[in-house]
Amino acid sequence: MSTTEDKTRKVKLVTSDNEEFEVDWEVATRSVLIKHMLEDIGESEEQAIPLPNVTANVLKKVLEWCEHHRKDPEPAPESSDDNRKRTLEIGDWDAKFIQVDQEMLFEIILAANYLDIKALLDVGCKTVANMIKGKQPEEIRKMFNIVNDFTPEEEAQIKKENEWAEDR
Amino acid sequence: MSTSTGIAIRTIISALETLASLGEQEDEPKLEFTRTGDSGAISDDIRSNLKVAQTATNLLQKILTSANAATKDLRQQLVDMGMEDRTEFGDLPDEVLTIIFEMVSFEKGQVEVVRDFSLVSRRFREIIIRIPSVWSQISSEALSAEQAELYASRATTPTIALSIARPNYRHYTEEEVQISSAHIMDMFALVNPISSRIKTLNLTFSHSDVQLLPQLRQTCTSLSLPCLNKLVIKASYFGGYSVGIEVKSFCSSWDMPSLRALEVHDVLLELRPEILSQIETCTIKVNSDERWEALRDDGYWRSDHIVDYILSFTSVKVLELAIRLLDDYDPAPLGDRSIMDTVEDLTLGFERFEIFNYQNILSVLHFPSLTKFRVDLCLDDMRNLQEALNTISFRELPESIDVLAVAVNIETKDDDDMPLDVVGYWCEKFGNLKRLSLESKRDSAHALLGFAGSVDSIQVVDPDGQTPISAQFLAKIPYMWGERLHGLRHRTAIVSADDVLRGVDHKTAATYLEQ
Repeated sequence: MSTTEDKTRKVKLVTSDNEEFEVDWEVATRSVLIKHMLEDIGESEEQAIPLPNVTANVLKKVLEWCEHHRKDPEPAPESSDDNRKRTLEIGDWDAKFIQVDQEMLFEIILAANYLDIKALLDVGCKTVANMIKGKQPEEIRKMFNIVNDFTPEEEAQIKKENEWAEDR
Repeated sequence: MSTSTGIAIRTIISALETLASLGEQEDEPKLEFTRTGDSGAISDDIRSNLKVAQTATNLLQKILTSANAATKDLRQQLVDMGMEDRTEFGDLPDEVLTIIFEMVSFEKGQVEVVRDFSLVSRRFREIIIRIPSVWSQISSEALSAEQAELYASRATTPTIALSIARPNYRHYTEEEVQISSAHIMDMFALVNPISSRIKTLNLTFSHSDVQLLPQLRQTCTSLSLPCLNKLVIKASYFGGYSVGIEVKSFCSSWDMPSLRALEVHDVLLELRPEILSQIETCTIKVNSDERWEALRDDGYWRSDHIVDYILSFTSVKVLELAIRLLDDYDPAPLGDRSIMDTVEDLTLGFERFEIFNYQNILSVLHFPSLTKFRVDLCLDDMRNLQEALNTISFRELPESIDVLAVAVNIETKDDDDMPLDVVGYWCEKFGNLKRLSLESKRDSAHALLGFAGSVDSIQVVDPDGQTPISAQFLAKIPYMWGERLHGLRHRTAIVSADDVLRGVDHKTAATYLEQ
């Protein structure tokens, strides 16, 4: 539970390329990782939180999302994980936010996963899910530069396994 | 080159030179402008300098855009030459790909995900194989018996949802019927070996399954389903006869200690008394055949049988009923044989308007503990709404209802019908409510909430229950929207009763939830 004091507090974050960001406590703690790190260092306001897996341009984007969602309710418990996966719909603001090139999309997903920001991770994952749903294997390979590393025999075997599904 | 552009360029160059000479120092360079001492010419100087500053801004923006494009292009060249790392799809860890695949499987279906994604690459296939939920939905309509067995072996936790139903083969050949019969038999043979891991079981019986029943009973006799939480049994009609009458005892000897939710369609399923008494959520749909007038005397469910069946659920809290009482039923006096005091949440579903020609279950049973009541109407004409609502009358109105939902679906595109006042008249009998939900799905209809465009549900909340819901009150709601919202996703709008009374515009009053 956050206190009024927490809400006025500033947090310093340092990226892998040594850029420093000063943000509101409420914005920074959308990240469960940062929240836990802040709990660990206690009241020491001056101490910057190092984020060795996030570059400045990605953190800037992530913080833009955190700022917009700063008032959102706390994430639901793990037990409701299934529910959050049941729809691929993305809110209007999030849909505009995530209109980025593929590299930035994957960077945001990786950052959200590392920083433990479930709702942002969902937005990224839903975006990729929407890109690949209904696509044929060859289309997915082409979209993401994935190499088909099956032998012809393996491919034939897998197709055979799925024969009934092909008929449906 | 115009004078201001020339000056702007020189000013930028000067600022850049200053920046270079400052090196790592903190100070930022400033664009310097000259100013004459003559006070009469000061305003002209400012205007002229402003023009130069604007030109400098435009030039810098063009340079920035050009530099950004060049950076991107040069970086791409390095990436293409393999000299710089670039984050790719392959960099996403397995746990993230697992979430993505699960999301697609919930939306598109597990079988499609297995079929399409397993063939992309070894990594895709290995991840898919490790996701239990992808293998947990086993349906006879999508899988062969061998595949069903494979799926069951890969669903590693007790989360299997098994569904067995014969495809609609009305126009199939005799040979195809035999093939589907063999498939149904194979699928039922799978139930016993995986029975300890089934959490949801959904069985649909058609008239062609009747001849298989002796063998199916033998295969599934005395089943033990320790994890089964939800059981769904559906039966069809054929030749004026409910197949459900033949299959009603199919599960009567099964042991299902964890069963809490039961859904039966056109079959009053016989279960052990101790199982009936542990059901908390129950859906009963009976006598739903469209050609009910052609039903044989022994081909439908009798009203006394239906009423006794409903009363046998002694612990049910959430009850959904869609029932036609086709023969006259003389309700018992209010007493033990007509009261269901455990039910807190009741939904009544009505498929078509004709259903109102028959006796209503509310005139037979009394639900004194009801806190939530929902009416789900599917009408053929919005003009029948008033008559339909008037038939929904309680034998004795429970005083505890504080959440009411009215869903009206109608196959018409006439958005001009907005009979909220009709709903309002009907709501008056419930007194003050804490929440009223008005629903009308755009997929099948949209007459009730046509005024709001892309809104499928409007919820009026009044936490203290102080505002009487009336025709006059609900008639105010369309004015809150004024213009229709279009092109948006299906939404629920939540408004407070106070805002409705004050006629606050929906843009201010409503909180929108995407569905």
